[in-house]
Amino acid sequence: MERGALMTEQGEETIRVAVYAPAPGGRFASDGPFSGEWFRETVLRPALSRAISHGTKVRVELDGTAGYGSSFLEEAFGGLIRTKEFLPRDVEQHLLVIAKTGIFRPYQGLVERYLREASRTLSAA
Amino acid sequence: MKKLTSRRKRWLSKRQRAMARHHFRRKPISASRKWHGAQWKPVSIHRPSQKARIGLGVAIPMPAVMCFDKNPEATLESLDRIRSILHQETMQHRKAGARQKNTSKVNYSAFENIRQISPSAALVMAAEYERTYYLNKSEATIINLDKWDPAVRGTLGALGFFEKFGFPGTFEQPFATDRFRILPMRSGSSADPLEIKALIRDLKDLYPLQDEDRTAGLVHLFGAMVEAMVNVVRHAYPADGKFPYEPINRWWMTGAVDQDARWTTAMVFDQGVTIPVSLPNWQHYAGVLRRIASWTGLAPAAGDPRSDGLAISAAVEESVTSTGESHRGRGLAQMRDFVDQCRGGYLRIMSRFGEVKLRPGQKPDVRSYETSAGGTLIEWNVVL
Repeated sequence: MERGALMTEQGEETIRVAVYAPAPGGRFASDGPFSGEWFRETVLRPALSRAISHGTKVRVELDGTAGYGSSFLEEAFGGLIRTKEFLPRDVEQHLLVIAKTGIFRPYQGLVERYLREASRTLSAA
Repeated sequence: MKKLTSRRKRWLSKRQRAMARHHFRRKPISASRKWHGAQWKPVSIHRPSQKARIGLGVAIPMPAVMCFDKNPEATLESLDRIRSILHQETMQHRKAGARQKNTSKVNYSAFENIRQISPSAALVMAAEYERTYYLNKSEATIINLDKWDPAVRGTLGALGFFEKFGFPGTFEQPFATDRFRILPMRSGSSADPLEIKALIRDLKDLYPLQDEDRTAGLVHLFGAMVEAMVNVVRHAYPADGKFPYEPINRWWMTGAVDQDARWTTAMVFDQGVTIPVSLPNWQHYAGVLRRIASWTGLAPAAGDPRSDGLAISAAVEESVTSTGESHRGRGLAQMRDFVDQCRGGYLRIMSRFGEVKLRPGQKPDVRSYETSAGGTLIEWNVVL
């Protein structure tokens, strides 16, 4: 389990984005620090792999950061499916992205949209 | 030594007088004097490591109001003149190298003419000075500082202009009003979200009271600014780009707050290839062309500066409506979406010769100017 991740009794791992990326950045690691690609590869992918192998869930909390650029969210979450690292079905079953506060709720909606679009693109290809 | 004859003496004296006349005639007629038709006048020259001294200068006129809203064309022209003068300075500095003379004759931008300068115009100007400062690695020269309007000194002082270019403290002035505050500019070359986070925090601190709406607005502003900064880092300075002036591959940003009107301003500027130039490499470019053709009935020639405003506007629209077929190119959409969520205000995108102002629920205000902005300015001016 990574730094800043919490585990519930049901084996559900909670990742608070703000712990890893207090100021989420651009899309690619080459853009600068706290990029979507960096977050996906170092935090999300290992956690989701563990959840799939243990049959549990990863819960990602979006609240508490400085905000989000759409590039970060698309690359971090949509990229899980688009890069074919995970099947859309596995992401749907084992990843839960939430925003507890109203300020961050629009970003939850964006993540859901990016996941849908990545699944659609993959199935169309 | 051979004694001079009286005839030889007369000839030598005549020649000396003729040479003196010739020298007197030629010396003041420099290219710059002819160019501007102006006269050399006494000026006070300020350099960081020296006491102010008197020299001679030819003033390049500046407008009384430097503001992209109130006086856009004259503001762009004057910024272009500053750019050109600073470029000449860089070229001269390179030619002279270590032999550079401590000249007391200067061509200078007459800042003493300016009565008002907006934060965005000040940011673009400061960026030009930073380019020269960075390329020359030499001290900045400021002319007639004692005659500058206090409001102009205040705006530039708040922006950190004097501190950045070697005049710490001495000329720093508190800004004219307590209710309108400008933050020091920041600049960098990578997309560092921590810089934006710090700017947003400073903007938030300028308001005496916090409320939830403003906090939410600033969170969404952060996202829009990240997209603008990432665009600079990824697209503004391509390795094979053609630049009219040597770039230093940086972005500049600042913010301001008007506490009475609840206006919050934030802006990002770069001196890169500009949006109209980089658009043909964008994956949604075909859509951009289709949009312009549907608006005007004509397919614009790639790179035609007269359609820069339309090209920027079409790029924003294309970014907003692009769907799942492509995961990139939504940065402009997020920049616009932020304004749509605010109670009022606008997003200005000024790039090369074009400008688009986007207001919530209104048609875009699209313009093209005679003079280039020398890069891309993204400015949010919103009520939070």
